[in-house]
Amino acid sequence: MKHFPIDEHNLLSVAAVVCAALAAAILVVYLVRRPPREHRATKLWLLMGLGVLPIAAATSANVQGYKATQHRAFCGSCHVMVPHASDSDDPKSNSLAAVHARNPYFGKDNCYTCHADYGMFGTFFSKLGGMRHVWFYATEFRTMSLEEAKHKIHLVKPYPNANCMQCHTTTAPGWNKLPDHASAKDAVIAEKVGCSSKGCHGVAHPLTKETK
Amino acid sequence: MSTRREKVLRIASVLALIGLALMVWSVLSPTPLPVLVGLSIGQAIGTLSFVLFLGVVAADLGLKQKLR
Repeated sequence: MKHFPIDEHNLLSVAAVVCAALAAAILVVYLVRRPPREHRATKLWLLMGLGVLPIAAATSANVQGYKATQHRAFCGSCHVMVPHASDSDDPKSNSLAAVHARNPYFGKDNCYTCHADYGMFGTFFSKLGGMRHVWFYATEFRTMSLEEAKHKIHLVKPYPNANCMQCHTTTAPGWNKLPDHASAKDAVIAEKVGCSSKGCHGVAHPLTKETK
Repeated sequence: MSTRREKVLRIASVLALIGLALMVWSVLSPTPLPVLVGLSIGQAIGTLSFVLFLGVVAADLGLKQKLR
């Protein structure tokens, strides 16, 4: 796993660290000096050190952690995802993933933007799927070589066209004007033909494989 | 009794320091392991420390009421 520095403009990271540092300072002073518990001032300081500041730090860390899981660097921090992340980083790559990564709407969050399921509970189910990835990585792929993992890792289910259609709506005149789109429209909506299949727009990643 | 509550507060303080360290780790190194550990175990430990503190405060308030 590779590490990367915090974003210098990220106020949430700074807020979390500052709140945690202040809380830690209060707690260390309490542990060293051991002031009388009965004093109201002691309880108020402890309320800050054990309650208010840690809750503020946890809230900032939660939001920051949630955002961090959406970055391509996070996905690429597991070695088996490095080829996919590197391809997206490559300005000369013409894969679907790389082309989308160069679009500012996707940018450094292109993995999440494309792979997060659409719908009311899409975020929840995407995060749940992410936990499954972490589990498989921890139990199976962590010690596996990249060459071996390339052959072992497969998609659990076909990539849903609905995710493509979040942006590329099938109701736009421009989309329907293309004969291939018009003839395949029903099959695309019914998920019988994949947008990223070999006959259409091609595979999204250089190492894309079919579902098992 | 007072000594026991002070001991609980000291344990709560140490637990909070551990929880805070894990949370800061997740912020400074946002990779899967630190994020998972910091935002689950770290926050569970932090919550436990706060609950211990509230328990001591509640116990102290109860003692005062009895004295009245």
